[in-house]
Amino acid sequence: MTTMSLPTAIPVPGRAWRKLTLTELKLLLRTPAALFWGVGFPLAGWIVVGLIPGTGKPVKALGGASVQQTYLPIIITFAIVMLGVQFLPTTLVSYRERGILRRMFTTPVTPQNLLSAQIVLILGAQIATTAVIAILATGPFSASIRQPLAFIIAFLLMAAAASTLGLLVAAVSFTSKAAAAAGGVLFFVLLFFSGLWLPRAEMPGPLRGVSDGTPTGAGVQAIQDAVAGHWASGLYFSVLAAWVIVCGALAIRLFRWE
Amino acid sequence: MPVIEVSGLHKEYGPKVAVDDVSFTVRAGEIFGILGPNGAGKTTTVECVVGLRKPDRGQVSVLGLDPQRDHGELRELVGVQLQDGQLPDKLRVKEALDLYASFYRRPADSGELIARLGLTDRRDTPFAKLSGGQKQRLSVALALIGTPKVAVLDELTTGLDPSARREVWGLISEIRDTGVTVVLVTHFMEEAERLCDRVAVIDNGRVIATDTPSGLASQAGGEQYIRFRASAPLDESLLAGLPEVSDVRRDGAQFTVTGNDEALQAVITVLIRLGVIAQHLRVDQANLDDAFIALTSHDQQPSGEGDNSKKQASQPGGHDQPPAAPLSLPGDNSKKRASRPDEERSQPDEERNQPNEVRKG
Repeated sequence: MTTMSLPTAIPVPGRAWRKLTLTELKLLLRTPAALFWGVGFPLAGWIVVGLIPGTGKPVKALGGASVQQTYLPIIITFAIVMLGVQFLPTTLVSYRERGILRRMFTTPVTPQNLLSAQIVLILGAQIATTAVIAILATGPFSASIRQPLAFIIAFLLMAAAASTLGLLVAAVSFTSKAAAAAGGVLFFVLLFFSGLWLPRAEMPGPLRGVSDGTPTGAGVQAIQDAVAGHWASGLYFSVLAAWVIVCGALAIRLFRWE
Repeated sequence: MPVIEVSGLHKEYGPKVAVDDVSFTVRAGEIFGILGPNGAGKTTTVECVVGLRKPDRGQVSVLGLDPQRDHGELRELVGVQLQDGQLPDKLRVKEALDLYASFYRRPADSGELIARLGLTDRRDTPFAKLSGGQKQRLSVALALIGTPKVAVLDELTTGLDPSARREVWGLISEIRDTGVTVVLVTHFMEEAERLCDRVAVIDNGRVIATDTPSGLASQAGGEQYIRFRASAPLDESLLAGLPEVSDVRRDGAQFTVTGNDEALQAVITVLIRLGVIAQHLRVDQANLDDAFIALTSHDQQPSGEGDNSKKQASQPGGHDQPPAAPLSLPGDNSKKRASRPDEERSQPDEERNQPNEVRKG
């Protein structure tokens, strides 16, 4: 099938866009699996790490960082990837599969509006989860974020990288099953390079080099440095930005509305 | 002024010609059927009409607007129900309507629409929990929520059980009664026969006939099928010789006589003269089913009934038929329809005519 001819953009009333976002929020709240894995589980994990005695003390094997400082960025990454690379593409592909995007073409609202509503919603969930983790880290726990601006920029770049990667998965997956499978594999690869099973500080040199090139490896390093109180090397920010640009451009090129 | 004008529409997907040459006109306030076998090009045609696809050739005008150029404006005025259009599983009926209402400048009242479509007791039911008929009614509601002047409904009742289908039919008649022009895409004869004011039959990407359902049925022969069981041995040649009769077939004592409006009288007269009683006598009219099969069964035509016999058939009076819609009825010019016995053989009588009786009653 050829692509649908894209209608010229018409101004969409803010009313419609707000309603779309609100409706998608309701649907997200009715999806317990997404809420558990994307929000509840990372939060619980962070609380467990924070409550274990001694996790606030520097550990030599972790390059002088504490367990809390090491796992804070990894847990944030978990939430970001779960929502951006798993939930976002499966939702979008099922919308395409079920003709929801096509139906939207026949109304004054374009499916691009649905897409942007969905991305904003995912970003909101990622921000909310990360904010709670950051507040807990600074308050009751001992991993306060000493360079908040670097933290915020690193977080936003990694969230954008995950969502554009999710869009790319949605663009190349024909069925929601394929999207879920691709998202699942990517989830484990990305989490591995973030250091969930083997912290980056303990990775052998070449493996760490690969990790540096992944959005999660670079993101974890940038956040970790911000927590420790300094800006990470510009390399990590550049890696994140490159992922956003490449995945975003490919997703826009390859995305099909039907 | 016609609401929709399509002329010379042509659309290809790569090497495949989906729509070859389609022309038709839809008038204000009518239910216009687009009828054809699967893969005939019906859906592509309506997708061009609603502006989802750009035609390769030909003109499309809807309410005086160009679906490509004026897409934005047109989407306020045309409500569309696409084939297999679904919604998120957990979206509730009222939420879906409120959401789609927010897309339009002049939305209908969603509560009122829900009541009209008989979904009031389902307003808080998630989409996944609705029955097939309820899903389709919701789909129709979504097509109407923007108070459109034209509603385009594609394969609305495919996959529905007979009672759900009837529900949806009632609904479509009501929509027309509120002044909305309806374009109905279907491959169900019964649906077209019951609902449509006029029908365009599309086959292989071309319009092969445009007429009222009864007009099409009468073009298919205007014939009657007289079936009976003879109480005594009967020589079929006595019936076949009657001028009113075009065909006689016998299976034991079971006779099927095909003929014009006068045939029944003639056959009965012969039977009375011979002292034979016609038991289990049944008379069926040619219907849209017959017309459709006659129109689209190009593969089943005997040789000599092919392209060279196609001709521009005269339309029954009162229908301003667009000239670009040639009507080719195989065997239309010969009253003794050569294609009939072929079809009869391929389709058991019972199966083909039983629904007809249900329909008439």
